[in-house]
Amino acid sequence: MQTNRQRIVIAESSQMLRKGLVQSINQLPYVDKVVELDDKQPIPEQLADYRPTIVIINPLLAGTGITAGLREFLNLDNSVHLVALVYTLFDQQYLQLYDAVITINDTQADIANKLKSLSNIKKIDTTENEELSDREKEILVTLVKGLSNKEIADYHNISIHTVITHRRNITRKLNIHSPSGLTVYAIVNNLVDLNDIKL
Amino acid sequence: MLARSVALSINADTKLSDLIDYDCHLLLVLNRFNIPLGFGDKTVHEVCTANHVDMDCFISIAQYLTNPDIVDTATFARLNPVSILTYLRNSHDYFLKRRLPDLREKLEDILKNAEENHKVSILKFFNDYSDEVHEHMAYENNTVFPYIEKLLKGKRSDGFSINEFVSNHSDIDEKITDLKHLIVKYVALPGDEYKITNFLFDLFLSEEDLYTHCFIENKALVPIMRKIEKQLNKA
Ligand SMILES: [Fe+2]
Ligand SMILES: [Fe+2]
Repeated sequence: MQTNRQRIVIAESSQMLRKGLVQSINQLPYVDKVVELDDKQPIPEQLADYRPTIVIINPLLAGTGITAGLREFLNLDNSVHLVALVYTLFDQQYLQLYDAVITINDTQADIANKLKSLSNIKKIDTTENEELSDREKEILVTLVKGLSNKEIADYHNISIHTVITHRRNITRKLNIHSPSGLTVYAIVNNLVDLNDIKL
Repeated sequence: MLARSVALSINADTKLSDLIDYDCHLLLVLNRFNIPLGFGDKTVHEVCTANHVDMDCFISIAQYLTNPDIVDTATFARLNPVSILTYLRNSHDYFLKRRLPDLREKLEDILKNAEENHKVSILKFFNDYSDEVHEHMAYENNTVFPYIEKLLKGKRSDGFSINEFVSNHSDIDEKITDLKHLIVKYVALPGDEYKITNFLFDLFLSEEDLYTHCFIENKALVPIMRKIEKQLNKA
């Protein structure tokens, strides 16, 4: 058995193009999930809900004004593969920010090959400090006590958006994704007392 | 689990014992197709015939489990639904009656000397997870699979459709992954390290096993159901 699983997110405003791409990608055996993003909400916000390993994005949606710091803008760490989906001419310099480029002239086999070679490289993000910050620990405590995002925001006097960012960073750093898993983490690290939470 | 540089392409003439040597996880597939051990030098074709197992289905699943990269999952939709259902039902039985109770027993054992609050929270976590898996698989056994069996007899039943299953179908391996990380990274359990390692091996295996189980449901069962629904709608 192999553990090669790719979670792919596609950000492209043309629905036709998106659907076509989803269809051909969905059949690849190492693809676990394909998620489509629309342009109704800011892309970085939508990306936050998934844990993609590959992001295929039309550079126009990523903002062509950006020449560096694309990952920061999209809020993606270095372990995520970034693929440009291109159907107009782009400055080569700009496309260098991407790990691969898919054009609309690519055949299904071309696309499969490009994704295959990406999926064989496991990038590990080494830039991040994996320790939770004090703030994140505080958020985690209110989280495992069962408070909603809104309640956590009110309690800490921060916006819901900030709460969501904190939650995302907490689960990413700890690599624990279920609420009940986070509860166990908080208990064994003495962040909360067993009696303080309704198990 | 072991990275292999050479992919094995399985066909009717492959010796079953070579297959097991190549990837020992396939032993579980034998169980699920009710193929007993002691098959000597028989080929896949011979063993499947002797045990009334659908060979296409066996090969597709075995190939996916050993080398997913060389499988075209689009071909899954052509597999025989009855065989897929047998495989999935037997897998459910195995998870619910064997794997989960076994994991629980081993977990209790390695938690014996742990601090009380560690023990309570981790066991609670596992029990909740176990309930979740029971619920997930009971829904498939009692609602989804019977629906498919009805479809196969040409009967449409109102009030349920494949889309409903798809939208309800959740991942069930996430919490096992969490438990794995908790024990490897965050909980220093006192006691027999070999037992803990043993338990972790089981968790890694279960995680993979549950993942591939879901994958087969999503990429084989779902397209098959869609095809049958379409045919019945036309009729
Ligand atoms: Fe299942
Ligand atoms: Fe399932």
